[in-house]
Amino acid sequence: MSAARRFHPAEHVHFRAFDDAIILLDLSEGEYFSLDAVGAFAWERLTRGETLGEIAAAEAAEFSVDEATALRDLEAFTSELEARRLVTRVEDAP
Amino acid sequence: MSAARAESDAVLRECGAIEWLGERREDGQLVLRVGRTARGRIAELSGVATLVVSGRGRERASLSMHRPLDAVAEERLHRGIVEGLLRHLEGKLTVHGAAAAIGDRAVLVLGESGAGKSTTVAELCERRGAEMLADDVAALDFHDGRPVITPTEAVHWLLEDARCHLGGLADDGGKLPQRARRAAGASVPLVAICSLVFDPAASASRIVPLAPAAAIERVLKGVVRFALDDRDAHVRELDALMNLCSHVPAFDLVRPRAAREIERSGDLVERILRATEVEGAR
Repeated sequence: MSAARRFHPAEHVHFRAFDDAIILLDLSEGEYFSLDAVGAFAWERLTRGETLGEIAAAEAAEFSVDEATALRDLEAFTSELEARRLVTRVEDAP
Repeated sequence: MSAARAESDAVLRECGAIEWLGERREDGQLVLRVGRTARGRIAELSGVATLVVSGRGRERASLSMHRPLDAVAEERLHRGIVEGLLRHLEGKLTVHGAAAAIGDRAVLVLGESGAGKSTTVAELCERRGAEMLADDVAALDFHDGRPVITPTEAVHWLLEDARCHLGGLADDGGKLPQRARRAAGASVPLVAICSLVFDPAASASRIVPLAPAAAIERVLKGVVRFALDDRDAHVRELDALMNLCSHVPAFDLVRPRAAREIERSGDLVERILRATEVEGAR
C-alpha cells in the first residue's frame, strides 16, 4: 500500500529551505532541484519519517485538495524523486 | 598542423588519462568540457584552447592554444571563461552573463546563448551612460556579505543587428568586438538580476518579478564550474547563491524577437537599475 510508504533523503543529497521553497543539491552530480511550496511541504515531512498517507492527510488539511488526490500526487512526486536518486525508500521491518 | 595545435596536443599527451566530468553546449555544439587527470584538472574550450591546472591555485595553471587568436579575442578568453574557471577553483562564484553599472549600482543580465545579454549591456553602456563590467562572464563576489560584480571584461561582442542599432559595422554576420566606451575599474554593488527571455507571442517587452527560488534557477543555468567532483565546492556555491538571491531582486525581461526591442529592453533595464534599492525590493 502506497499510503504506508516512507522515504528518506539519499545520502548524497544536501538540502536547504529557501523562501517558501526547498533547494535540493545532488552532491554526486552537482545538480540542483527546486521544490515549490507544496513540494517543500511534502519534503519536510518525508525527512521527518512520515508515511505518504500521513503527509496526504496533512496536505488535505493545509491545501485545497482531498486526501485521495494528495496521495496520488505524492506517489508521482516520490516516484520522480526516486528516479532521480534523491530519496531512498525505507523498507519496513518484516 | 599549426604550432599552437601541436603544443596543445603535447599538453594533452602529458596529462595522460582524462576523466571528463561535464560539458557545456550552446545550440547543440560542444563549447566546453571539464575533467580531471592524475595531475589535476583540465578544461577544453572546443577549438580554442586547453587549460590545465595542477593543484588548486591559478599559479599552477597553463593555457595552450589550439589556434592563434588576435589580441582582442585572446583578451576575451583570458578575462572571461579562463578567469571564471580559475575562480571556481578558488571557491568563487562566476556566471555566464553580462553586467553593467550606473554609478554604484550594477545589474547582472542573464539568458541563454543568443538571448541578447551583450546587446542589452552595450545599449546601457553606449547610449545610457553605464560602465561595463562583463560581456560574457560575470564575476560575483561578496564584500561584507553583500554581492558585488567585479569587472572582468571591457569589450562588447556584438552581432550585426546590435552593431547596426548602436551605429557600428554592419558587414559581417558573426560577432565582432567593440571596446566599451566606459569600463568600470572596481567592483560595484549588485542591485538587480535580469534574465532575458524571448517570447515570440509577446507584443512588447515586459518585466516579471521572480521569487528567490526562481532566481536561483536562472543563475544556476549559467554558473561556471571546474571542480565538478568537489562536494564542498557545491555546498559553498549553494550558500553563495542563497545569499545572492536573498539580497538581490530578480526579474524576467520577456520580449519579442525584434531589433526595435533593443532600445525598449535597455529602457526597462535602466529603469530597474535606477529604481532598485540595494537592500532589496522584497
